[in-house]
Amino acid sequence: MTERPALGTAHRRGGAAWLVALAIPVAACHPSREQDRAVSFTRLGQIALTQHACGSCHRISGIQGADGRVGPPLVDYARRRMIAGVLPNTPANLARYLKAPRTVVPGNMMPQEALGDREIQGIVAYLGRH
Amino acid sequence: MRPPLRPIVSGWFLGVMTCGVVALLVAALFLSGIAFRVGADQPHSKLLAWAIHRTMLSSVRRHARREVPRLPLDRATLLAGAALYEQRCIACHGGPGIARAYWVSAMLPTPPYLVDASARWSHAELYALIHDGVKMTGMPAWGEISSDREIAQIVALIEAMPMMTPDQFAQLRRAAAARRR
Repeated sequence: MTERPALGTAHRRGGAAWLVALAIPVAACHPSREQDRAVSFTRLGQIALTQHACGSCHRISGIQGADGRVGPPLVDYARRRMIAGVLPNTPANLARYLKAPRTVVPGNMMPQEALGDREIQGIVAYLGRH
Repeated sequence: MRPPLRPIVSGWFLGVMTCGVVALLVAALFLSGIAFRVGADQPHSKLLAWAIHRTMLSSVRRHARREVPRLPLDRATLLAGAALYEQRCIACHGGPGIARAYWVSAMLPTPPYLVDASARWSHAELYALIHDGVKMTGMPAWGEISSDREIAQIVALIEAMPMMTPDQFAQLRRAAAARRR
């Protein structure tokens, strides 16, 4: 008599474990949303670099399909000395350049994508680590 | 000693049945929306993104026709191409020095810039991409509503893009707009 409820609990636990096991791969398929404050800046930057199609023109490590040959490659970016050949490579300068590339280099091919402040911080963080 | 045939057959049958049941369960997970969320606010997993993109690349390469029209890259062709590009392409794909519309970064997959397109795709592949469109990307099949000549004019403009400065592209846009008036 006393053992029966215990068996039932074990059964339920087994069911819960199954659901968790199922939920993990499902959740892994859906990384966090761009606007989610809990997402790290690096991850946000990775999403922003993808969604703003930076890879059409630049080679960027860790971004799928980012193998463009129009602008300079951004591989090993953290060790780069200058941005666009005119600005010292600091986080503040990169943020300034991303906001309006053509004001830094007039006649520049790089378009002024509509980037939010958090996205810019994210891109700075991502490139700083790659 | 050969093993008797019956257990092998029944074992094989049981295995096939098990695979079938598992496949049905997995299909049910997807069809019921448990295992897949269509919301475009979250990126695909890396594996799925790679598989979809790989399929698209292979399909375009395989199905591009061998004989497609090719126009000379002269001023008349580029002006006609620029007029069409302005109406149909620039919002999603931008241009040399021209950003895409601000809402385009919210699309998944997001449309690429095209300055590099002629290095990635052959003439026939570019023609096929524009003429046939691309399923599940938002790329329309422009061939459904355009002449072959119009498609060739757009291809010509895209192939000329890497030979233009942003200022020259801006001038071409202005000239195309003036000619339409």
